[in-house]
Amino acid sequence: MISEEQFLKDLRELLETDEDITMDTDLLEIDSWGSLSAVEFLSMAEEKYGITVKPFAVAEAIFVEDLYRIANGR
Amino acid sequence: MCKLLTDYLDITASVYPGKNAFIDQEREITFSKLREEACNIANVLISKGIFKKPVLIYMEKSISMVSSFLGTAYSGNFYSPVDTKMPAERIAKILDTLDPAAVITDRSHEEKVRALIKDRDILIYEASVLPFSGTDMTSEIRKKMDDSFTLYVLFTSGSTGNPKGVTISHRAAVDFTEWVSECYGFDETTVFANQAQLYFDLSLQDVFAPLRNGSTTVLIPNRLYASPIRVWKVILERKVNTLVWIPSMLSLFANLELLGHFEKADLKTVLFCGEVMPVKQLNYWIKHYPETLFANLYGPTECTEACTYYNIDRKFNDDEVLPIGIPCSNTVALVISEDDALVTKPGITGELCIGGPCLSDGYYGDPERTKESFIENPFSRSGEKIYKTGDLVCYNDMHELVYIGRKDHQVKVHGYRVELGEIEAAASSEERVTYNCCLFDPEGERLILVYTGNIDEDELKNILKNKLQDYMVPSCYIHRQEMLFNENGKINRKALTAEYIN
Repeated sequence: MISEEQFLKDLRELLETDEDITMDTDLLEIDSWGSLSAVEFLSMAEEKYGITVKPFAVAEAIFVEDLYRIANGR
Repeated sequence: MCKLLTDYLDITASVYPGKNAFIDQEREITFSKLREEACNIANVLISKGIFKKPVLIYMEKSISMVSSFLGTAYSGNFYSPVDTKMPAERIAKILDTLDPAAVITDRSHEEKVRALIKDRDILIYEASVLPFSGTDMTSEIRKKMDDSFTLYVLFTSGSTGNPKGVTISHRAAVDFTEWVSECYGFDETTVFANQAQLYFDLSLQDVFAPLRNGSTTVLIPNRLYASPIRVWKVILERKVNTLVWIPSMLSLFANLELLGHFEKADLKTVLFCGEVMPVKQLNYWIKHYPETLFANLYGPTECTEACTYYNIDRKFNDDEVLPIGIPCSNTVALVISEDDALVTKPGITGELCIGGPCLSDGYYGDPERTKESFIENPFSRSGEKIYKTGDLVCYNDMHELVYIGRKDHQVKVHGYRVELGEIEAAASSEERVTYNCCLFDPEGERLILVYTGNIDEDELKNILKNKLQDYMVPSCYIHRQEMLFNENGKINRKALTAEYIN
């Protein structure tokens, strides 16, 4: 299981940001989360965590925690 | 027949006074209230003696922005909307060219505007829409206007580093609105989900079609598109039935497999324009919406919005290219070969040149560049103008136009038109950059800046962020010890492309 700390570090790296991001953060509150970020997250999940994510699950994500659950295969 | 865009609203406000014209995140506005707001703004401008002058509009996508457009038009002036995130340096260039007589902004941007723009009349939207205390002067102004009056100036990327202001008349806007409304049967039941920014020509039907047809447009903040599910919920809640989006956005919804997993929307028409639509993603949309009409629109800002169109009427394989189709009504589309001959047969490549009432009056304050791009039709004796699009096309066997590529260094990044020269000019203005060349990687839709000089990548990126709009800032930087030149001493773009892209 990926730790919360590691996941947030990976997400910041993906978005090339040092914004304050927590599990409760709404994705739309992250300036660097753009329309292409969902697709980039799919690639990251596969490359970094070795999991294949269903694209629509990412489309449904509202909070960072939703992405975390997806990354942990839940 | 309406001559001015505002004539549409005069009629529709009396036919559908209580119907919603626009909806944004804050409020809804009926046609009669929209007209009232616009006329109040117009009277403020008229009372200041401003007539036939440019008015800069500085606010976020909103109903207030639409009211400001229309208020400017009712006053006999013309509007020029700019992105509120545009760097100060680029705004300064636009102000130099446009020299606006006034700026309309709202309270939330007032401080920023006052800091950015000096010595101009600044109108605050919230104060300007209050009931006008004097006599209404809009009908007097109307008598002085005809359809040759400029309606708006939209700034696009320019190769020399200065944005170009494309000037569009009421006649061109009305001609486009007539065509798109008739061709796609827009009426009072049409509900648009707007995607494009209102300073982008792809938004034109979202703003103009309601005025003519009594349709409704839901203005969706562009930020919301970073959360596709929330956009889809708006589409369902507002019973949206018409989309006019850039292909990148339609592709995103397809790549996230959104259509198959969420409630179906009542989509009747889906149009796309601004860049090449990948057929694989289009086929995904068609699979989920087989009854919907899909159409590929093509047109540069200089031809108002669309000047050719192709309604998808047959099946395409994922690796095929969609045609850009046939000219819209009232439009002339000529294909001119390298040796200046008129191309009529399939398979021969030439530059697409467009004529007709959709044509821009040229680049604002730039007769030189206007002369270069808007030429006399060499195949007609009447002396009418045609616009050289710079796009290479050919006819297919069905005599439909097919887009092949660009003649120059203009590219599309997420639907936005970008001149690589403008990025290079911005990088060159930094003294620590010796040489630079901007490349475009179409696969990843990435801008790559190859440069030499004594500056690191992060610093150069930050400098460019202050000079260029966000979509123009390269995402990848390659620092070289020496630049590559060809035998003429010019930067060897071809070799750099081969090295870093192919």
